Amino acid sequence: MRYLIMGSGDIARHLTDAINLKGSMVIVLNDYRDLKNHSFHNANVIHNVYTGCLMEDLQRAKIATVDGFLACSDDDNRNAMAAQIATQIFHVPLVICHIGNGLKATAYKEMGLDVVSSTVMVADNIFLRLEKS
Amino acid sequence: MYVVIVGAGQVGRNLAKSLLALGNEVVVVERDSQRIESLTEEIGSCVVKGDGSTVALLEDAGVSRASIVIAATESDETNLAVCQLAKHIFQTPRTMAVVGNPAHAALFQLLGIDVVINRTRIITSQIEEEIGDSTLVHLVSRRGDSMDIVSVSIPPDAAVIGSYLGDLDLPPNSFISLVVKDEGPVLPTSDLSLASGDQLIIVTAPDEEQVLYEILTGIN
Repeated sequence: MRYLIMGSGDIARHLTDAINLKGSMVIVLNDYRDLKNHSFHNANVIHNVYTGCLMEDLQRAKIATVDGFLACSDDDNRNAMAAQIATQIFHVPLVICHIGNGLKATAYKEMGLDVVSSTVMVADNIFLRLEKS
Repeated sequence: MYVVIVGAGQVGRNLAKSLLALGNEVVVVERDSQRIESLTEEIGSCVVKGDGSTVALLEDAGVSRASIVIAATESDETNLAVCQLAKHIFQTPRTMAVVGNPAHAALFQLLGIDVVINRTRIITSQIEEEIGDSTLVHLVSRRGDSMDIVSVSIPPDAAVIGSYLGDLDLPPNSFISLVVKDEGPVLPTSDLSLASGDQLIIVTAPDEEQVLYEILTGIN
């Protein structure tokens, strides 16, 4: 399986390692600045640098060939747009989009995107623990 | 009319001034303090500070009662988010987005943005127009990038000089809408013949432009 991961923060790095451990190929798209700060050690990882034009960057990262696209940069708007490019233009079979802002996450879920919101998940988790205690 | 503009760069600020001058009610949303300060000096206190791509800020700006939301930041990603949130959450009747990268224009249209302003394309067209009179010039782009209105001037050595419009073998989605001759504009008819210097206004599809240009000018 081939996955394209956009982003270079903790979520992207953990995902890259986890997917790679399962033997899948990972293509990473991120900022050059981020690339210098974080090293992805796995051999099965191909790096691509974000240049400013999402459509062209995703094409360069061979989005048309992947089985899954995971948009998890630290920019909600970039993630949402990239996920919609993946879905609407390249028809990637699996597209998951991270959106930190809770209200925005809900809106994009309603618009049909498969959204994961770390903020909502963490808040829900804390709330559950509060209820249990 | 109540208009919300997100982004107070050159486009946003000039648009705000023009719309206010026409008697509209305008609110501008901007993150940058310096831009806010300078715009407030010019147009008063109708500027809201913050990230216009968040639901809370759009609510503060009164998007729920806006007739139009215009996203004019320098970021295509932000402009798309602004328009989508306005449309989806606040049911804004009309959304307009400025797109910097032409590659994104079709996507915006596909995702339901009502009007897509392709900034790069507009600038490019103006430069093309200034360069020379035998160049194909983009006048207007409609429906994203799926339809263009272009102008082609017939060069002195073109093979089509003397040909009747009805005899031209144009691409299937290209239609001559007007012929501008030395004496003035003429509506196209099949028995109208072409002369050097004629300017043709044509509705066409982007993927037919090159063929169209070759047919009319003989230039590859």
